[in-house]
Amino acid sequence: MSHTVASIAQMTANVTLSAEDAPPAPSKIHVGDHVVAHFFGLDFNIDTIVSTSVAALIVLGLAFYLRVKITSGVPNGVQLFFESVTVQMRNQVEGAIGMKVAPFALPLAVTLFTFILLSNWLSVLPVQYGSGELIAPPASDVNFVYALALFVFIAYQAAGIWRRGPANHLKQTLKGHAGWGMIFINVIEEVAKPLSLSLRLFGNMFAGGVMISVITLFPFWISWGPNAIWKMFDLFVGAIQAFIFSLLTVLYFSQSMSLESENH
Amino acid sequence: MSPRTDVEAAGNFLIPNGTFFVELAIFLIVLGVIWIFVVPPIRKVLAEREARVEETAKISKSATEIFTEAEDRYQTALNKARAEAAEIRNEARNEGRAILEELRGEAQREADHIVAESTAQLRAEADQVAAELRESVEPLAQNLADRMLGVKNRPRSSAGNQRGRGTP
Repeated sequence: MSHTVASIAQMTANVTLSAEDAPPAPSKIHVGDHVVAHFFGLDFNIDTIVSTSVAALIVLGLAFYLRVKITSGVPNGVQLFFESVTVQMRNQVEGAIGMKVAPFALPLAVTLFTFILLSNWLSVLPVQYGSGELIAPPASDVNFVYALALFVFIAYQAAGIWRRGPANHLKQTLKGHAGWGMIFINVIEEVAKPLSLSLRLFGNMFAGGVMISVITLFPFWISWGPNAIWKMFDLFVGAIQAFIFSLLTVLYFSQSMSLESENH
Repeated sequence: MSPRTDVEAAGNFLIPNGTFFVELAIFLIVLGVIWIFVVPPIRKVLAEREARVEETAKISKSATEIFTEAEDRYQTALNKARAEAAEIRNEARNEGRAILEELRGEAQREADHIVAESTAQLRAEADQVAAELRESVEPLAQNLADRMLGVKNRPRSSAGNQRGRGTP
């Protein structure tokens, strides 16, 4: 127990302390390390960009394959996958908002689900070098999840303004369901939505990476077992998180687009 | 601490950096492709399939209706044919009975006729035989009586006369 606490302390130390205060025996676990490049005064995490691009290329490849092969007859595997996702998300949108009200929520939800799912499942590839993965899931970098969550946040605010009008949207967002007395809580809730949306996904996938790093501390003749088990569980976590992200997106759309007369 | 670019990213990994914009761009590309190339065709295909299923259900329903109607028609025709057949059978049976009766009567009449004819003929024959016999018996009796009385060559008279005057 004390050993675990010590290594966690070391981990944090690695992250937060500057090079001068680094402990004499550096831990093998590195958290939040990225291969960084500098352009235009900005830092770019090359490894995250590469893994995101790989995931995106896979999704685009599947999408174009589907577009070429699509048929109303017997569907192939890719089409079946996209059909299941579309039907599932269509049911969610239909139940939460209504497809007539928010048809644009469907492609967004489908994209979020497939893109996040494939990004997360990249981490199952057993390609490791040094202490970590060659391709870490993009969601273990906050830039990925912030980008998605911010886009979703702006999109559902815009949808709310489009449906209810700017003043009315602002009023209803601040007033919420419970009246003006809850304005403070409503503001916090509104801010917490994108933060929780992004950090939930980040936390899950990041923890998966940390677990892999911990498991690789075992000797190689032990580590394959926990590694295999954890990666299978990580597949499950990745699917669940992708589903939750898209489901919550649909729900946030429905909250921001509901009219006052519908609030009984 | 002087700002150092090589430790900036490790400063706190919860702070986004320039990667954010690249990630957003990649996501927007994926979103655009799925928005244009995946969801509309999938929805079209789903709608087509639903329409086809509906159509098939409709066809199957109408087929069932047609089948029921045809079966009804078949049943009605069958019942009608059965009734007709029964009628024809009854008629034929009656006709057959009538023919049988007629034939039986005819045969009876013929038999009666034959019997009567035969009786009459036999009676005639019997009468004729009796007459013949009477004719031959009379001279024989005369002859015998003459012989017993010893009369010779007596003129022949009738048997009645002979018998009436036979005894004194």
